[in-house]
Amino acid sequence: MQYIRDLKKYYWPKAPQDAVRMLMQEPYAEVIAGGTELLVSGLKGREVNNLVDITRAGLSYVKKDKKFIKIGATTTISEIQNAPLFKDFANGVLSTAAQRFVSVQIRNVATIGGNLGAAMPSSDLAPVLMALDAKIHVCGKEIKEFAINGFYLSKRKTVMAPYEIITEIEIPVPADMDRTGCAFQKIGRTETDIAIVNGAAAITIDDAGEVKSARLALGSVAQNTIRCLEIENGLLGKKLTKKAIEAACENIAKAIDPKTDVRASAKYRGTVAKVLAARLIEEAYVKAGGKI
Amino acid sequence: MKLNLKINSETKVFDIDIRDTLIDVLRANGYTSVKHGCETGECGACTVIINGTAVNSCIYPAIKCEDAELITCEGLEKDGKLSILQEKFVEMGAIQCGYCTPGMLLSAHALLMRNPNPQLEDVKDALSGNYCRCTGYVKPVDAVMAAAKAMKGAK
Repeated sequence: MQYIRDLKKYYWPKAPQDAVRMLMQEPYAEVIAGGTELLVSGLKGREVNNLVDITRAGLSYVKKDKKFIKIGATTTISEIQNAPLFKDFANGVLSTAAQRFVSVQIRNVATIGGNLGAAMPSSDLAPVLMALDAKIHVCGKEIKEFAINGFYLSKRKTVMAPYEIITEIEIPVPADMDRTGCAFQKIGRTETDIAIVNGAAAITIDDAGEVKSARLALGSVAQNTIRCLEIENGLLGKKLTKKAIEAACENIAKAIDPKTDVRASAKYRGTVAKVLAARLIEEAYVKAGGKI
Repeated sequence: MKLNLKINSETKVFDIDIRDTLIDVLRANGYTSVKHGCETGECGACTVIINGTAVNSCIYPAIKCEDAELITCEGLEKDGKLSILQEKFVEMGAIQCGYCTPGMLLSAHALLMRNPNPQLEDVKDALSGNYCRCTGYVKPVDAVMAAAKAMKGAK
């Protein structure tokens, strides 16, 4: 089976700037990394004559310094899952999310940049990166930096122009690492299936056990992955109890807009989202050192 | 166009169309252990090993394999003798119709190349992308665990 009927040229740029130039110059050009999205459902009837493969453009790496962790866009999900760095960092949430990411065969070729750029609301990585307050570096006519919260416009839509590519994901190392707890959870038909609802939380507490900062992100419950700002604000300055968490999550229906699909009904997603949000907050709070 | 690669330790040059998926190139050149299944990267029947990692060849552009090293099920046996992993699949009844077996073997082989002492959870994870519609999963998982043990003994 020919995966793209009208394909005529396949490019291997050596640097991100070369890739962008090819995408701008060639008509009907599309970027490809692992191809697991593009070859299955990514084209949607669009005519494509040129593919620009960025997997040899020097964007496969994981680096850490005192302030940031930097992940190159074409780093595969397996590489993230197996990187020793992510086993410990932020309670291992990124590693855990990567391990729940479909099958080994897909993880071995799918890339973090591809997953974020595909902009599907069920991404397992997006809520984790939102909870960790990551930034997305994009190369176009110039280099730009976007906070991941705000990067998505709707399903399959990001703020990027068609010729722009993701080059790097930058995660700030929390200053108060010892008092920060992170959690990732996912409800699906099986461990590794596409999520019915997924989410992540990062909570920092002070000496008294009161919440200093909180981030909660949920996937598969709206047009794209969302931050739940109202719930976050409801936690600030509080010592958490089961009741306090429940109260903060009470109005979650206002934050989400779940849809019905083959995996679950909108109503079920709404019910599950509330439970999952509470579980995420509790897990992150306890991991931060809080007592419930 | 020409595609240069190494497959089952042999250097090969294949004639390919720029639009070919890897599975079609492999089957057209006699590597028929690689099976068409779902065609969407879910069932794992088309699994091959590329540069040491298991990949779904049905959603992989053949052109990406330039200079790569591939292993298919044809490469597991040596001089007409089955590998330990294959023997364990036979011995423990991990095969029924056999359609998913080449993919399962390669997923397991890739795991054992990387991790010769896998835990049960590692094996389950390694086979999570290979669907079987008849035998089930208990016997294949047992067979991989037994193969890991036997391979340690063989060394």
